[in-house]
Amino acid sequence: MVKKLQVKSLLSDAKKGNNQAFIELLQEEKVKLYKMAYIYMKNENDALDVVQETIARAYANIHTVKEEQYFATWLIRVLINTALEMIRKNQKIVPLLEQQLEQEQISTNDEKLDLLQAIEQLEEKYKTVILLRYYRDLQIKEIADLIGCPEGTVKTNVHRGIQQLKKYLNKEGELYGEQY
Amino acid sequence: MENNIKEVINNIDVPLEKLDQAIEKGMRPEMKKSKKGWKTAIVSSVAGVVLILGSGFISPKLANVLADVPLIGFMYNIAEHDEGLQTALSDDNKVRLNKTVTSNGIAITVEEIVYDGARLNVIFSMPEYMDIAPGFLYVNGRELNTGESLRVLEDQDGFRGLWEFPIDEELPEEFDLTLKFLQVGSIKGEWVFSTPIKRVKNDSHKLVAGQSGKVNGISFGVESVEASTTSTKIKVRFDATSDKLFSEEAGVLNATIMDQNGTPLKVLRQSGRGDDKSTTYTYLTEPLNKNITDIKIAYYFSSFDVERKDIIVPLADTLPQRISQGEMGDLVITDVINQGQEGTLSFYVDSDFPYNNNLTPLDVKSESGESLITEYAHAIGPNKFQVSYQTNVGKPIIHILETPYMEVETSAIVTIPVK
Repeated sequence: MVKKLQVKSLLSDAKKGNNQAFIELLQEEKVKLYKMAYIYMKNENDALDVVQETIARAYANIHTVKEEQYFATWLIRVLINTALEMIRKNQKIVPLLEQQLEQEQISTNDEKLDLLQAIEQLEEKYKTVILLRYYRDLQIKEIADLIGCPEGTVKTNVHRGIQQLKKYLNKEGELYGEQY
Repeated sequence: MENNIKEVINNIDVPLEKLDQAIEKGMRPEMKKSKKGWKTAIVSSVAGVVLILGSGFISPKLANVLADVPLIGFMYNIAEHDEGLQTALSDDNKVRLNKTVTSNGIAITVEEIVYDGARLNVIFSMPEYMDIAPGFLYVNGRELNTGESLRVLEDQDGFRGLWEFPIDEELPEEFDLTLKFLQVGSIKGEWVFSTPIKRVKNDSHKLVAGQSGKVNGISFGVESVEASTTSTKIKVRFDATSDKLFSEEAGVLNATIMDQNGTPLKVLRQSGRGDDKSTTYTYLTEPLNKNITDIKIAYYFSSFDVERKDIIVPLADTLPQRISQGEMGDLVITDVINQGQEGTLSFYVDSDFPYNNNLTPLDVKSESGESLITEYAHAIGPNKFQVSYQTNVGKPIIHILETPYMEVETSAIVTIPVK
């Protein structure tokens, strides 16, 4: 109860412009935000840019958050929108050489990183639901509410995302098999 | 595999120092950027939010009707919270457009538009709230790079919102206005609204500017002050980049804008823009009442990372009630007047420091910790404030945050004569 009171009060103070309260609200979320941003952007610099932009938007709009319990999911939604916008923008300007270098780096990763790499390679719509379901532990209904689409679509995309991951990992396995 | 997903993501290295820097930068007032559309505009409005500090803008008493809409907080009541805009909306030059544009199945209706020289306000509606971005604003065909803010007017049977675009440059008295949106939620389309518009008749006039001062060694000067019956716009230029005015190292520059007696004026919006040499803050305050002879602005820095100190005490049965909060002066509750299920609590801060609405985050709570506030603190005199709260929920508890130490240098106060 004490913690609930404290967080409620933090949100209220942050809405009134208390910077320290806003920073404290972010403490539990910032690392998770960065990791989600990293999955979308696949590199540290862009992930940090996404976090920075997310914070700017969150800071400007925190008055729209009604209750503390919605703060984390609201922040996730801001981050996802920011990341997807940045990806769309970057798609037009990523030099080919950079993409090649990135792929060369990826091919040297060990098996544990293969799953991470596979998640990074997922189509954005599958990546989003996989992150929300298995990293942020949200229920299907919560994901549907957060991204604004029907529960059936979320279920389908989670299923297809998992299938794509398996397919990707199996394919990699075969590739390695051939190499050996 | 599902179980491993969390594990591999948890194993991603996090550059914590850089992450904290990114968060700090995200909270810093943005420089004007040359990017187009409201995506940028929304970012540049961060500065406004930094210094508006919310108080007095929202009606928590209306929040319960929004229970099903978690992303929207309190509703905005124009008549209650922005009398100047209410005046502007009653002017003949307000445009009643009432035009609905539907694109890819999404309908947006622009109901009314009003321009008062300092800001452009648009009242719009849609069946349910969805983000609208990017959006563009054109004046006589030229795109205007401006910030914007959105307030919720209604959200029960459909959504009704109020956009406000601060206008920093001189625009003609009359012009062709076009609003264009390219995406609503995740749906792309094109929603275009065009109309000729005239500035409202608001007796706008310039006051004598040029006053100068110094805060923490940084010189500043009042560039312009424009008063009208719908708003007051004050521009102050600082000979410093924005990181010298808002950062972990420098702290946060704050201002109390008040009348000649020290009663704070309600600041509706504040924004900051700058380049590599200077930063200009623009303040939009409520219209000046007839009794105001001078506008005083006091500048002071507060620490960026203030150590939070909560003070929680029951509301005393006998008043006055003095609550100590250290060096920054006691907070003294003088009376509570109950009317129906709402109480109005008056208090003052026993200090020479010029407090404003934002520096007095007094909350009234129930014993279970729920906020009972229906109207945040608003000034009724020099260092005198009132809050309103629900009275039918048991014994009220007063919750304040100790004000961090701040001081105002004599050189950091400027006085602008009104008459």
